Amino acid sequence: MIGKTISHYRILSALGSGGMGVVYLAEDLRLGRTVAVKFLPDTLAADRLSIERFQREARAVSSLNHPNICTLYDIDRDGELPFLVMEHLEGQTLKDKFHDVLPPFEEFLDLAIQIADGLDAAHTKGIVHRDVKPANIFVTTRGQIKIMDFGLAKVGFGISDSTGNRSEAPTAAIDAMLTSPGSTMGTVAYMSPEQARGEELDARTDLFSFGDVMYEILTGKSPFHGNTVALTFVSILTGTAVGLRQLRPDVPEEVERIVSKALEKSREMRYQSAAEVRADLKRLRRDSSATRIASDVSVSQTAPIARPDTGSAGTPSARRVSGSASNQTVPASSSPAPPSASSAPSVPSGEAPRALGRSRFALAGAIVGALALLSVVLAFWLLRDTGGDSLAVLPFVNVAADPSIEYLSDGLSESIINNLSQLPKLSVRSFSSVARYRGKDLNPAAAGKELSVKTVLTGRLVKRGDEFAISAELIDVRNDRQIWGAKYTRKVSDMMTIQDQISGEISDKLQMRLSGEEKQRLTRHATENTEAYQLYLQGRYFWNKRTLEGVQQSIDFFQQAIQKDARYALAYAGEADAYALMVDLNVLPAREVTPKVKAAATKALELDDSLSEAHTSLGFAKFREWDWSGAEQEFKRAISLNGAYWPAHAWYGEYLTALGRFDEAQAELSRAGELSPMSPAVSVSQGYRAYYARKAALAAEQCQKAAAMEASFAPAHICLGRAYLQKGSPAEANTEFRKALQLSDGDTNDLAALGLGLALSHESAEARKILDQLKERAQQTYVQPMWVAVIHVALGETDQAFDWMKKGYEDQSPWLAYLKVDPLFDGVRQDTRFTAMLRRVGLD
Amino acid sequence: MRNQRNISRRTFLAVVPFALAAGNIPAAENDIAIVVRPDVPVDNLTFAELRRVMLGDRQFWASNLKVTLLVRAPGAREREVVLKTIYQMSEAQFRQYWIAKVFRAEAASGPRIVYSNETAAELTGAIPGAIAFVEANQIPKGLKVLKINGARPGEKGYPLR
Repeated sequence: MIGKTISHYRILSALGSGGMGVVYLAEDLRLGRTVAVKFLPDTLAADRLSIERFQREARAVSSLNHPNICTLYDIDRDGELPFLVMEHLEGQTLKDKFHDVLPPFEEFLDLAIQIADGLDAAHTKGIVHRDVKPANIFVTTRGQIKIMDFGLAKVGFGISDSTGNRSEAPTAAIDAMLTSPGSTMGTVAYMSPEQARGEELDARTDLFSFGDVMYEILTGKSPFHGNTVALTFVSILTGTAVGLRQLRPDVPEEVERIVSKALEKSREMRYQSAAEVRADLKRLRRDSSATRIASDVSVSQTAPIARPDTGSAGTPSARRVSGSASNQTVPASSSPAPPSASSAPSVPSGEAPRALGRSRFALAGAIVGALALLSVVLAFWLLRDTGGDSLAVLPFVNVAADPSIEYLSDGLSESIINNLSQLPKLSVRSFSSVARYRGKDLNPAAAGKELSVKTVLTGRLVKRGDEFAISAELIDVRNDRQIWGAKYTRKVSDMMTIQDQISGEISDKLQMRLSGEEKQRLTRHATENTEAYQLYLQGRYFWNKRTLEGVQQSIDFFQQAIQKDARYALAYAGEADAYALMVDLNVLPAREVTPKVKAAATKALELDDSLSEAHTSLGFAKFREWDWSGAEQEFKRAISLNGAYWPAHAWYGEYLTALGRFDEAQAELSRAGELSPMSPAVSVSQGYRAYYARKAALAAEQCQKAAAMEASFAPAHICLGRAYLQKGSPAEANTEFRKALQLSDGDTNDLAALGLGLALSHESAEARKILDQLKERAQQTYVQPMWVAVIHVALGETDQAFDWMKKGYEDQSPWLAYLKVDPLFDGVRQDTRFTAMLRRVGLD
Repeated sequence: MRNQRNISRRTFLAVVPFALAAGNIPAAENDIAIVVRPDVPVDNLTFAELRRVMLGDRQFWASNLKVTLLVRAPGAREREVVLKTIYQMSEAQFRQYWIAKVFRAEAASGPRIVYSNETAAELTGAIPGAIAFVEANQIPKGLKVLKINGARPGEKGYPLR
């Protein structure tokens, strides 16, 4: 056969042979690619009905086009002998791959999710495999699952090896199996109860077999087996599998639940679809990632574990099982503890330790795939080739200025920043620092120098129909040369296919440079729901505008994201941030809004306690409630979880400022400034720190810096105006207040600031006019009572000032947090009512 | 279905010069007319009632007909007049007002923003209960012009100018 050309396939070599026939490596002479050619066994080749059924089934199977299914290219005949032409794969089957070792938990999850994905794709098209088993599941050298021989069991192809579907297999063959030991037992062990009973089958039979496979991959043992086929059938129909965690105590309880549900004997009680299994596995991966990061589990857990029946030295005895279901040994402890570093299983010689399993970017959706890939590639280059340790990711250019994807320009950039910020070896500039480059025609190297980074990532984004074309370029700032560049085309509806293929290549490279935990962090997804993720990005896009209009829209989008994925912790954190912004913008009394900040942040933390963003938001809420110790605890926790999250440093710095702990505040705000060097908000916070510390010149300098960063940022002008007031320059102060008022289209806070400036400039009549306006406005919209109070203080109207301060207290005004340090209250500081107020907010 | 039918009527809602559309209404170059669908069971509003409608305090024309507010985007003269005379608010206040209203669940949403008088006319014709503002000399065909305090645009005492 070798060297022979059949149809347009030239046979190159034999790949394997067995009961399923012979498989050859061949060259497709038309398309110039290598393929695998599989001939039907002689026993079936002579049966015309079998051949016709085989051809019908093969045609259906050939319609499957999925990255986790071995593609059937062609069915043809060599004379009377039918053969299949399939995708040629390099790697090994699950059976061979895990013959001697058990996979680390993370790798197991990765593989199981891919298997579930492949099964789901086939089941969706009405194709049932009927012979899911480790020997039919291939793992490529890139860690990609390929399920083989889909649907062929139905027609008896390879029956002597796989036996397939009893209802369609010759009775004699089944009868023979029932009494014969040997090779057929291996196949019978993966049958579902309904298959063993010869009943009509549906997709759920594959899910039972998949449960068998998962159990065996994890434990090295089949859940149901006996010394003969008949005993195995009995075990499948009536036996109970040994608890999975008794054999693998290091895996989470949730794994046991998932596998047990797949192995339910009643198909009504079992998972009803592969998609359900996949969803549970993905959720488990997400949750276990979070747990692992929080608990700082050692890398040893990610190494393969010696298979129990190999008897390798160092294998924990608790994981050994005997050869039969009725004779299994279990650990003495009924509540096995996870392995400690000292009890970590040994790695068999000849098997290189793996870092984390090939984490796949299983997040559905073009954008996540692209950004995860970009993050990984970036990390690879930055840590390996350039020696660079600092990066700025500029907003992606929306090439066609398509407003419908404007949010993605920012969203891609911000998500990559968030991903990479988690790598301690890399200093990544915050999104707020790079946002100012949005839509600008710029020189990346110049931007990099401005941002004091060694490398800059630029990107472009175009939507064409339902596809996104994304290009990215990594520039070395020192010589303005490209370090790396890539282009991707992603169809939103078909993203998984491409991202899985590419991510496999990249993650293999990364294992050389990133620790398992770092890689895990990079590929960690907060949601697997594409729609939810896109809605979240839109929420962030509007939140970043930090305007009244933006805040409302951001809340809408975060809430929609939550509707799509009720377990999307980051969306709750976003919602908390949006409410927090409402407090800052004085849209409503803090007393009304802060409970919502707190509720959203708390919900986020219930779902994911490792979320720095949510701890920061909760710290903010507690700060606003004058829960001083609670707030500090949350800020510290947020920083310990992610020291690169600049808002945590910024808000903690503001908190410390309010308490008069100026040196500590300086340290936190400086750190925020390092992480977000071009953020006017951080500069304003630094300006206020100096202002409250009575360093007027420094305050003015910082606020000027903020205004220079973003001239349209009204709070910078308010900050600068207050610094000028402190310096004794009221005219300059009023100029700044008027600028702010103009920029904000008449914002009440800015109007009030002007009133304060006029009062301190001895323009009392004008100040009183503004006071009247503020009181009139208060009939329709919220007016921050503390603004009215400080104007009255400036006018020497103490009683009225305290009336408004009291109202401020009732509204839980954020301003009261600064009562202890604010120079504007120096005139009433000795008043007993002021001392009482300090006491009420916990600042005495 | 009702909406679909109404949208299909867009072509009949072409914006035409005031004199052709409503020849018996005096010309009023600077006045802003308030237009609604003809099936809105209101012909005249007091200014106070108009404010209640625009502030979202009155949300139904009738028990089964909800008010839908259409307001031009910032920069349009119609918006400036509406904010100044009806809302008596600055731009920032107007935004703040609606955010607070929605936050407190006193309204399901703020006014819908429209970017041209043509769109305002189309949507008013298509959405039952919609109310919009257009230049008095640009009143679309097929829409009803509301009187305010008994006055039509161009008449003495008409407040929106």
